[in-house]
Amino acid sequence: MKASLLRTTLTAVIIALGAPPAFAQVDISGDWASRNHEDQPHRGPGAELGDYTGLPINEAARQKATHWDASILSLPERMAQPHPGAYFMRGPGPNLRITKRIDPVSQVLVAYTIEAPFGRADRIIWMDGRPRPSEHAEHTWQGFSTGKVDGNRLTITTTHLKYGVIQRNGVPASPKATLTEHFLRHGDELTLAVIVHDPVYLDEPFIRTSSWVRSSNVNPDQRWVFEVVDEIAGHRPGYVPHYPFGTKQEEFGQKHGLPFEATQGGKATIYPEYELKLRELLRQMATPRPAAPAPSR
Amino acid sequence: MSATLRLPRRGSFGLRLLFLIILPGVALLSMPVAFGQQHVSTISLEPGETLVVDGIEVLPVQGKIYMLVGGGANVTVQIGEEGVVVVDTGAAGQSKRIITAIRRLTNKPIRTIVNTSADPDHVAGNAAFVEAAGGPRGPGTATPLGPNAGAEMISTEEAYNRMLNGGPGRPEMLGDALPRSTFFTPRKDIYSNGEGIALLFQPRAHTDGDLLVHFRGSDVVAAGDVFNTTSYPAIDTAQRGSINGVIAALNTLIEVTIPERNQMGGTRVIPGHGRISNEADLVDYRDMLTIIRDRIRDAVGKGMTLEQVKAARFSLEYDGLYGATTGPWTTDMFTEAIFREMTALRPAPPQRGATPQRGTTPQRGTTPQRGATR
Repeated sequence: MKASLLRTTLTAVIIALGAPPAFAQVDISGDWASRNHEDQPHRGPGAELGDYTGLPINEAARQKATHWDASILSLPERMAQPHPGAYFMRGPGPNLRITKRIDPVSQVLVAYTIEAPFGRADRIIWMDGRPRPSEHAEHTWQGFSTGKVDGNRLTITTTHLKYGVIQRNGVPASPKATLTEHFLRHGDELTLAVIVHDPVYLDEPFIRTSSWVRSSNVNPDQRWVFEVVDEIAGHRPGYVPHYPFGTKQEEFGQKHGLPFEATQGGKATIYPEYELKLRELLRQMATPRPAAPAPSR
Repeated sequence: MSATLRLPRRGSFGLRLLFLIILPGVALLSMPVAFGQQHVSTISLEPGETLVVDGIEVLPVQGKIYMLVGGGANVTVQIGEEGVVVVDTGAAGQSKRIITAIRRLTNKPIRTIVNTSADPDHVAGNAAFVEAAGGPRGPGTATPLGPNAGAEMISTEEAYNRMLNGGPGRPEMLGDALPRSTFFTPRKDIYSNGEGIALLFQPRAHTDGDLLVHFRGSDVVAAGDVFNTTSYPAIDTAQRGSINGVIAALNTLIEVTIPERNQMGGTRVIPGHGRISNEADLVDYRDMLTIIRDRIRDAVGKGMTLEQVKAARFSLEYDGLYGATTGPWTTDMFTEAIFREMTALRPAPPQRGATPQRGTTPQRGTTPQRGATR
């Protein structure tokens, strides 16, 4: 009897050790509808010119963004470019179609593909532990992504990105940037936290979250090829629109009653303590300056 | 019915010797060309794969083209049935490693060598490559291997003269290190391994002898130092380099390249230094140079001095990608080269008492219109 019990127990332990993990691991596949909330103005129309609020950018990024002219997107060699990697999960939308690539023999998950971001720079997130390409390999809009599941979290690391933006008003992201992303799923809700590390343009990592809900009625962006046309006739080859050096983009602050300094971003502006500074700046704005003494006659 | 060679079962020892030794020997001697060569083989790498041979990184680009990194400037290699075309031969002391890496890909003969400029990190391996090819081929050569053996080496006439005469940081080159085939026309076409190769002369880019090498079938351009992903272009004013010429060459390159769709894929570009690129990367580089050039030109127009221009940091937003404070080509040197060119191009002020022509004298302090790129 005792021997039989021991045998049964041992067998159960061996089976349990050999079985795959019983706890649920996150599965992000499916169709997902984007949810825009207070961030809609940034994701639909796009951030206004000169709005760098809350971005931990450095002086180089500020100089790049300040002189960026949206007309550059009318150039034939730029008008069809997709949203770059550090931005494209942000919007507008995007509604996502995430599918699994399964090894047909082993049934092991090889990769997720994320289809339908603007410009269809569809992403592949490799789950098979493959090594990263050489630093001399081509950079792409979506970069090279590898994923690792940790319980309810899928963590993605992305390198090999093209020169891009983190915001659609010219705030840059360099090809040296890397992304760390966490997909978190709670039932039919999916949250993505994107952390951009950029040694060229950021003083601290830039973090933001976006959310989606599972939907069987989603309409992902299916446009595959953007046609290139002459939008503005008469430009010579090599025309590069940009604002002249020394330009100040003040309109955003004036329109919203913000001090210019507060619109310029920087790592200090991402912390709650900046509210005190902002109050002080607003107080200074509200206080009329003493009139200059009249010149003596 | 199959023809089978059978040893005679009967007969003298001499007859058996004839079959066993002499006949195979005769057969071997009668084999054309292949006799004396190694077995010809070629391996291929999949896109994304990398092979490292003796510290030289080999990356497949597309079609028949590979990029070799780690021996000075990037080396472009085309491999096909006819043999090997090499664009640039690397820095001094690196050729053995580069040739070993090529030999890991194929043991087909090196048939053509193209130099994109006369810079030592691009051409110092010339003589070693010619030697590896069995000798030079082309005008003025009489190789013992025959008219179709050896390697033909091509450059622009200007690059040839620079190699021949040497200069600051460029030792004089002699003999087989010098190209036998030169040209000064806007374009020279060659054909190899089933594809046309257009050699596009850029007369005043980073030097006065730059070439873009377009492999039309594989759809890859070797751009030489007209395009780098790791530094500002080294505008070698001693070799009549020019920022306007570099920008013009980049615009030519953008005309040549075609993305597959939405600025993705399509024509690939191998830079002089750095990573494999496509048109989108070229456009970023062209835009960057155009913007910096415009800023410095406007500053010169306003009468700013070189020191003021350097202090203004017109290239700040790009310095983290392309700038340097030490080494052979610093941000200050880049800025100074543009400043001097813009100063030289600035129209002379009218002579005292002369009537100024309308539109010929820049107004001091004028701000260019938005997007005023010319």
